[in-house]
Amino acid sequence: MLPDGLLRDLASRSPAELRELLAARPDAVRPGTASVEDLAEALLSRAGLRRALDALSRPELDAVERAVVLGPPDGPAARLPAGPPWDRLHRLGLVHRDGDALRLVPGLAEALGRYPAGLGRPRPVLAALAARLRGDAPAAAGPVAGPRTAEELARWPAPVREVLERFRSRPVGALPDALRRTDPAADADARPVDWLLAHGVLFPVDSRHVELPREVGLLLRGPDPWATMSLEPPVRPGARVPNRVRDNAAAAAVEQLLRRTAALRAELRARPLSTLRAGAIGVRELRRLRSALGVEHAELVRLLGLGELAGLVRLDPDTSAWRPAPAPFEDAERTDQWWHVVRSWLASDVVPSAVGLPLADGSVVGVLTRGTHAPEAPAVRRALLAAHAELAERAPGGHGPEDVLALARWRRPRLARALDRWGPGMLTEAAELGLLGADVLTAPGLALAEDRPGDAARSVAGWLPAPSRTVLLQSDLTATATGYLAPDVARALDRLAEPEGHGPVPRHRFSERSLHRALDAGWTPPSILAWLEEHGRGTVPQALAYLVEEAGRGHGRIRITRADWVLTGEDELLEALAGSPDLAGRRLRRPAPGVLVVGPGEEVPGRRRGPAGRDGELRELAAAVRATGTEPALDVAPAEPAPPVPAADPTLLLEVPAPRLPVPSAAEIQELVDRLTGRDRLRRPIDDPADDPTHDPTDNPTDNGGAAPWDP
Amino acid sequence: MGPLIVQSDRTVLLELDHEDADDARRELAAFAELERAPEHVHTYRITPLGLWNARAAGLDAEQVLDVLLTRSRFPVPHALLLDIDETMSRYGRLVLEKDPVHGLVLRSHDAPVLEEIARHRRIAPLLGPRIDGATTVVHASARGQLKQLLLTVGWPAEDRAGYVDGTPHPVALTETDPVTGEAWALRPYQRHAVENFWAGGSGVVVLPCGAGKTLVGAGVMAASSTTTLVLVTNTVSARQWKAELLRRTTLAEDEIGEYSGAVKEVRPVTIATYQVLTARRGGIHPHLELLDGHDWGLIVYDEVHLLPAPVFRMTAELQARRRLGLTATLVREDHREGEVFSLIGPKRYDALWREIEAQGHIAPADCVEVRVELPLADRMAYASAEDADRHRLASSSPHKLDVVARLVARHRGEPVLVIGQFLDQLDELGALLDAPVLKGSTSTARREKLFAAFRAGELPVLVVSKVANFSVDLPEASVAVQVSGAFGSRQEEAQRLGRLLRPKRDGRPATFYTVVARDTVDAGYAAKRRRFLAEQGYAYRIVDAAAVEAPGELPEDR
Repeated sequence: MLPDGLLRDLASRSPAELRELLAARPDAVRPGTASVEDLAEALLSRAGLRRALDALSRPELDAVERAVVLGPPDGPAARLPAGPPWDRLHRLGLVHRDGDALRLVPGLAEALGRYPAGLGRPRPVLAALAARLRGDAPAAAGPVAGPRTAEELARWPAPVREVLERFRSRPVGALPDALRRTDPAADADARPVDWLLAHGVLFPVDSRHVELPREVGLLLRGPDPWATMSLEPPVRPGARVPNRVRDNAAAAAVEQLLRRTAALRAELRARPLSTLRAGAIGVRELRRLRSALGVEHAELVRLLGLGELAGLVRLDPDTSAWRPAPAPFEDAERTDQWWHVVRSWLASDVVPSAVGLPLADGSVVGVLTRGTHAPEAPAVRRALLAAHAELAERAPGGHGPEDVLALARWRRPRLARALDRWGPGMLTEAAELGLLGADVLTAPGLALAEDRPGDAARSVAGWLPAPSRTVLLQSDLTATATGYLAPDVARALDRLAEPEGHGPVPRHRFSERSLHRALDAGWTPPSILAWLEEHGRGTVPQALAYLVEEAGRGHGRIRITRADWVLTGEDELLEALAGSPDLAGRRLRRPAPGVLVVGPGEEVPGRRRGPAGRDGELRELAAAVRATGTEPALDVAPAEPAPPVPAADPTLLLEVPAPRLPVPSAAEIQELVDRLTGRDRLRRPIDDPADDPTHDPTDNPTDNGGAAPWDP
Repeated sequence: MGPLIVQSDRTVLLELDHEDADDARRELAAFAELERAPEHVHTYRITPLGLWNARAAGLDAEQVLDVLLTRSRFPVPHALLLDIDETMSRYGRLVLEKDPVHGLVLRSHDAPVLEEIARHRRIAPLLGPRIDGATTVVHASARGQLKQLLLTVGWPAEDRAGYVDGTPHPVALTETDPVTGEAWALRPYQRHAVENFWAGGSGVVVLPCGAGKTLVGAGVMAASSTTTLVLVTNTVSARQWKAELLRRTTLAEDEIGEYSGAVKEVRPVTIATYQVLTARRGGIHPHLELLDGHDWGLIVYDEVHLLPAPVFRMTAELQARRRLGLTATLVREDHREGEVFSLIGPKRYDALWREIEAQGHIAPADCVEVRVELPLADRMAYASAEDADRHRLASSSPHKLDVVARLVARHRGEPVLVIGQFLDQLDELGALLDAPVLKGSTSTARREKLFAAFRAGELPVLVVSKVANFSVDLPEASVAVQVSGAFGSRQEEAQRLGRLLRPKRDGRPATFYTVVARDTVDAGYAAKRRRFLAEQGYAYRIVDAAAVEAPGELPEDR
């Protein structure tokens, strides 16, 4: 049954007011809505009301909670009903005008939940519940002896008051055997809980929990707990942070994030991350990744989580191992890479930094497990960015997590729990994404907070210089890039030389071994030298050119072929090798000139075989050949064309998780407004002031209404 | 677009071709240690010790961060900036001072730090009673040990407790060199080093080999004008110090004593070897009292990177005496850089190599690796040899002899050193080149005679074994041929090269040849040497033995 007042209120709203209402209550924008009745139904849905409540700030929520708990404010009009909370509550469609009065919309009290403002249920409800649980007749619910006034409460024995103090902010407490029979004559000093149960001040709600009735809770907090609430958001002054420090921090973080993500994918491509039987990742695997990427544990788990939420690494169900997703992430423009990760982060349920947080069962959240998933995550991230944006405007400077969370809690009190649990970690994530720098919101962070994604990407693009295609070659046989290296150049370099160190510019070191490995992969000395001349800045050091040619000269003198270890090559060298002490204990055969077949070594009791199996054997074999002075050519890996060219279209990036709550576009809202106001045939520019020349949106309903009848 | 690139592994790359490279290098060198200096990109490393050295030199974190932010081409990891700030703020929060009433005291305006220190299990026994919230008495004998421990717990103390005066003894620098009769003066950087050291109290002066560390020592002795104890690595070095002091200072022969295995003289200026100080007899160090039994006003530690552990322990007891450390590198193979910092003192002066080289005070060097192909029979012998024999087989291949002879012939008229490890091979070379061979068994007298002849140009070629590696001074050697020997340590290589880096009158580059048997362990050592030399900034080439045979220039960069 829809109240007439609500329908009249909705019908009287101007198109501009309706647009505002629908933008704030997006779940009410449904394709089938054709009338004010339909709109009212949509606005009153339980989920929609909850979502609207979640968006309320501290004073707005206080106003609603106070109205629900205390009933209509009958004191001087100057207190709650005056002032901004009511305007916004009206604009959001949570209260409606009814004549001169304001009313809460139906269902709002229920949408607040069982414990509005952290207060228990009314005593009669609890008494009836307790009687049912104990199997008593309703009349035998025990003496209704609760305190009537705060003075009475203050006279109670101290131990009793201490117990009650614990219920000040939470109405429910755990108590073993809560349904026990208690004696009203229990000693209040020795057994205060029994005394409270016996006197009907606490009520059992199941066998292990008790609840404090709303009436007593209010006495604990004073007659009007909301009277002292501040209407001002908590904004502390910011620490001085120069812009260059802020931008330096954020730009370094973005570069690092993209570099490490690519490195993570490369590492997982070579060696997938195997899971334990229970699904989590083992300590040893994490340690391996940590040293391969040169990161700390906390950084690694966030990196893995971001990879997961952006769909860049995924669990292969056949092998139970995490592998990189096939999309050519590395070949995309770096700005697009960043935007893909950030967009996914904003929309995803996964909270990478949640790893290590305690769980209800006493364990902690594991890496890449369900424990990192939180449905509130997108809302919490938005709230944090919004709080940062507000701080940036009201108190510019650096704000640590405490400042941000204090304001976010004030702005979104219904998210307080989630903010406390996920917020600090999410702020670290935001810093790693470059949305914060040195505790200050950055330009891309602000752009996202204000929903200007294009501007965000443009700001980040300024931090990511174009890729370079050259390296500095030095006679210590290193190649140093002087910037971000184009992916194809980097891949070729990875083939030719060993990567060294960690940082914004890749460094590589050539060695005879690395050059032989490149030759194994299909490069030739001329192709290597040509590549060096094309991509090296300045001259190719003589020592390096010499080594390339030397490697080419010596390459293939002995080859190892995977056929249970067949060695072929110059006969004299093989002869020498067969006599080499390194192969002592192996079964050796010389089936043909220039071929040597190596069989397995003899088992020596007490000596462990190499742990690495066949790969280990191959390494040992290669070392034996190398010890004779000839670098062996390894034919065991399939040759690959050099240098490889990116085949996939870099624009084909991965899918971003769909937003949990879809946001209607301005056009969709306008369409609905047009339908409701019957203007769909007579379209006007959206912000035409001629919409309703008499309407003043700041119009305060309490100005003309005074004290109003309430309908909680 | 600055010339620096700050990596997240705390290394800093300096691109030399950049127009601001010189300024950036000067600023960077104040707080980061140079690790590698090849031709285009130098690598520095930011370490806590380096940052504390900078603090000791009066730099603060804000200046360091400003250098990084201004000069860096790419954004600098924020965590690194925070860490630098935090690390630098730790130096000097604890100060060692002399209190007129209580003697040696440890002061801090940061009460929690003092509290943390006072509760430390190993530090607490060194501290006396607490005078007030900010001051604790320190046992005078614990000054060095306390500084060591404070460094290890990350709160390096600033030592402002001053020094004993020592026995005065007049020392001045000469104006003309009595040997050559030419006028001389300290070079600008040497004077600068002396001034910086004197202003700082105790500490270390870092100068490359051949840049005249002995002269800095003489300069500091003149400034101090007290009795002085000089600690050196070996007897040869002790004699060279004495000869140099006689030339460069007003000290007379009978004012300088040698305290070594052979002679035990204690004079106003006494030069002692580390070895004799650390010699033990019956569980005690009989010569230890040389250190604290005399009222030295200055103690000079030559080659401080080689300072043996017992001398560190003794130095801990000598914190009231002014200490000067001299070295070419702060890097120690045993990673005891922290003890040098806390016991000798912070770095007081660090010369920029390239600048000294550019001023013509040290000669550039050209390094050439010559690869000798072993004939098949030798390779077979090598391939089927035991591991233990392979090094010898490769190093002492007779096929190297011919190449060495040709290299020596290429440099006819220049002083050439041939260096090797295997005595048989050295003897063969000596016979082939008609040159004397200097080995461990050669007497000191003969060694000095041969050196003198070589120095005078009477002897063009000298074949030396590994013994010649330490602190011999052969100013005119401009070519060295290394025929065998493992790549020892970085210091050994620095020494070997240092010998060639002495300035030459005609400005010719020194040349360092390494003869390597291809495809053997020799090549492995050569790779290490190559990396070290290139990182030190030397030009490095690899050629085939055949290229040496042909006349004309050796191959250049492409």
